[in-house]
Amino acid sequence: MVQVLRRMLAVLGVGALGLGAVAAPAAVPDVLRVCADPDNLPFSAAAGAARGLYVDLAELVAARLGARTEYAWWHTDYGQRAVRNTLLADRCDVFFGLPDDKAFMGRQVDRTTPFLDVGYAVVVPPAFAFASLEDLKRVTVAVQFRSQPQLLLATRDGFRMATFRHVEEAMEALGRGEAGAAFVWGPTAGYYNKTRLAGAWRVVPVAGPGLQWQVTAAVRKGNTPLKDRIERTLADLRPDIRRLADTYGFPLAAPVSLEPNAQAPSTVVLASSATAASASAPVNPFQGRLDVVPAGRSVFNQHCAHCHSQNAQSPEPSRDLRRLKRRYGDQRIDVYYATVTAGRPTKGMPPWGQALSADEVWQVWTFLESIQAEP
Amino acid sequence: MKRLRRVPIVMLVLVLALATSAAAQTGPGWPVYGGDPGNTRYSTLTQVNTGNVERLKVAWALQLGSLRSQESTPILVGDTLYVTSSHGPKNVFAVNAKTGEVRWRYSPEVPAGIDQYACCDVNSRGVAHANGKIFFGRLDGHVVALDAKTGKELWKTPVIDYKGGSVITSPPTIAKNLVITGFGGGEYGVRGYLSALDQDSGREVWRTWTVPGPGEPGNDTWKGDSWKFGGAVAWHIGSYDPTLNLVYYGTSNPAPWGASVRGNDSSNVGQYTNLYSASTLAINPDTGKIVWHYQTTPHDAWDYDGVNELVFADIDVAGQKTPVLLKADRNGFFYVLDRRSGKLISAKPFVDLNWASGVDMSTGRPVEVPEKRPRLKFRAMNVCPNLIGGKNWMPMSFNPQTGLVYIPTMNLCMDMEGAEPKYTRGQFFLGVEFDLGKTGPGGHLGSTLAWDPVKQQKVWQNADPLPYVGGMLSTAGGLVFHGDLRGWFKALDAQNGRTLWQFNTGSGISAAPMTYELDGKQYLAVVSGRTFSIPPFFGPIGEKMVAASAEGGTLFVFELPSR
Repeated sequence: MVQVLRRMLAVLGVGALGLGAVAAPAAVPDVLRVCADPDNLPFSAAAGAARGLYVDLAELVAARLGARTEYAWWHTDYGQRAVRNTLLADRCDVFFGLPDDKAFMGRQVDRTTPFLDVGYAVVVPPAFAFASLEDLKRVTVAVQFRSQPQLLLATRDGFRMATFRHVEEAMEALGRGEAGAAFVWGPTAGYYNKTRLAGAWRVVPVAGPGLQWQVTAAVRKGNTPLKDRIERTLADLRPDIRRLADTYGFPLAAPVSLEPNAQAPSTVVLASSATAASASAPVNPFQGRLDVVPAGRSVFNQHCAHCHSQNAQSPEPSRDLRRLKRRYGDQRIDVYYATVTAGRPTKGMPPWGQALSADEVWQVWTFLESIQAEP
Repeated sequence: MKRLRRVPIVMLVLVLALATSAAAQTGPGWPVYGGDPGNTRYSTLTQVNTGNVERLKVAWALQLGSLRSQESTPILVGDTLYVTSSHGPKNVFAVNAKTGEVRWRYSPEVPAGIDQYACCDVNSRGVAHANGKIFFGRLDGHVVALDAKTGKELWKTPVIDYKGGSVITSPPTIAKNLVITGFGGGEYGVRGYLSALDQDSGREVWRTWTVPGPGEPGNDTWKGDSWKFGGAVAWHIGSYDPTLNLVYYGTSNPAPWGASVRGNDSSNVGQYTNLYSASTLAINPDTGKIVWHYQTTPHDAWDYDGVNELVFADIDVAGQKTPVLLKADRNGFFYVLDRRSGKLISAKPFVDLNWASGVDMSTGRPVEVPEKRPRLKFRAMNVCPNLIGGKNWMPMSFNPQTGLVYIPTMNLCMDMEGAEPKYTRGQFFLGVEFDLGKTGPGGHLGSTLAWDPVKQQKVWQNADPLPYVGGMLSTAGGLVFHGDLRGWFKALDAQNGRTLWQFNTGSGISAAPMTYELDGKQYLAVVSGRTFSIPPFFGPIGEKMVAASAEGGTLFVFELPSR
């Protein structure tokens, strides 16, 4: 009897495991919905050749999980609000790039273990001997408004600061000689230095209170199965994360400690191998081909007119595709391509990447280009 | 008669003109956001009064076409009412003020994702009018002029780049041939200014920085180069006194949050007062020059914006009729200033506050309680009021008949400072941490307060279990009108605050009501649509705010039905 019971339990146990195995893929549906900032390189971008570390990483994670990605784009000028309006509003499943600190929305999100170290860096000319904070007293230091370095230098005597709104502006001040050093957000400085300034400056990561951070991916509170799967995948992808960080110019050296006796936190030592990760910008093969317009109109009227009106003459401004140029200017081709292929599920726009051929997508575009209202 | 004949014709015309202009200020019309250029929100109309207000009924309603955070007060020009919706504004309407029939609607292209840039929701408080043109500011940082008759766009001038977090939410101030505007978003790295545009062309006539630059007096009130992004923006409504030829604006808190970047980060403020943040400014519209200033919260660390509207009154000061400005400041003090000189006449707490023990009448400065000042690595506990203030933007009303000011107040406290991790645009930093969800003394969260600005004391107060009591209107009919977060639109007895009539509009009301008369009939109008982005700041109190009513967007107009 006992044995039978044991056997039954074992069977039940197996059954439960089996159920678990079935349930786990349900945590990752066919689509992994990712929240990201549409215009924030080196972290993410909705369009263009470089899509940013978080987007490239999301693609790698999704591929490992057997899902395709959809993006909920949201500007992150107000970080908490961005999380509230995307992840917490169920517009996406995962947000790459939140600080590893429970004090940041800890009641609303669950975080993976950190997958990347980021932090502030001191940017100096190659010949500038920088070993401690004291060295910065010799020059005017460019800092960013409302940043940790600004606060740090303002509360100590003997520093001259020049304040800028953006990291890029601080680096340009360095170039003009208005500042002898910049003390700014490392990844942004590294990316700008690599892509725009041909590596003219030395970008030295620094450690101190509030200066070094760890990055996690976050899911809604309670979505543990998805969090666990992403976490395991991120662990598997460590070499790829290193490669991406290097590609985007993140400063990867061990940080210089600004606290005399403090120990620098252990850092991920990132291997340097510059494999370019670039998706190409969308290009219309029918550019300027007026003969394609009727075909585009026909495809449009079959598939799109249901919501966007016959011949794209929508009376409802938010759906009026004659306003693409007015609304998005030169970026309209990127917006169009991303929206059509990936959809905009929260606004009711399905993805058409599977349903339409590439030619059809570009025929429709050629048609829409022919009817744009002038800004 | 003989004597009259001796009066020069010119004098007669002048007297008549003065009488008319005085009547237009407080008479049957409502030509400007605050009822008159002094923002009194007082109407001389008496048809609707304490004796018959219980018979008020809806005359018509207008759907504004957007939901959430409606803050507009309509204005009346001729027999047309002009009103804006939130979200851009998404819509500007010109409607027949008797029937609600739409004469035209202007729906600008609002940039996608604009709500991702507006700090405090996608508001619009309405329009201004002059010389056949309608003027208003947009969230995308433009001021626009429309033909009042047709709604046709006449010009559109960029004033500020919204992508830096600066948006325009309040109607501009009309002074002479100018349209004057500020903008919002003080915390996000902007140096405030007021911009005066020519009414005909939209060209900028002058721009006055509200943070002095190098070489200007007051620049040394900022540590280092912190003046460059000092904030001090004028995002709320201005006032205009044509007799004194002065335009008045309040300015916001200084930036950034860390006061140590701007100065001493201490109650011992020293030279670093951070002018002209948290101040009242008087500006000569001919030149744009700041004629005088009065700073309510030097070296602010609480986010006590000084933007609240400046209300004109002529009251007895030491036996002398004196033109004054009334201001119920976010910091909890009720200020009376001589509006000619900026001289401080009185400053008394109108709500429970504990960050200061009073205002030193010789220096005009608050006497701080040091443990209530949040500082770097120092968390100040139970500071009252919280950063929403003893009063927020919702306008008050001054009734010269009762001599009282009717104020929508807040009663919330906070813990502030202590470093909290934050991020913006991929960058992590330690930001200010606050707990705003603390109920103030007495247990209520808001109130309607009748305040005597001469005796500097409370006359009556209606406590509300919810915050965000709406803006006020008072009338010569002995009435005070206002809305609340549950959507009730109420008429109170101005003498004692008793509710004489109420109507539920279905969505919370923050906007201030207005009233007007057409063809012998008095109408009352109020816009309903609950605040949307403020509740997330308040934790459990925010949940109560959201539960109070659904989002909405409707203009309601009321009348006394004919018997």
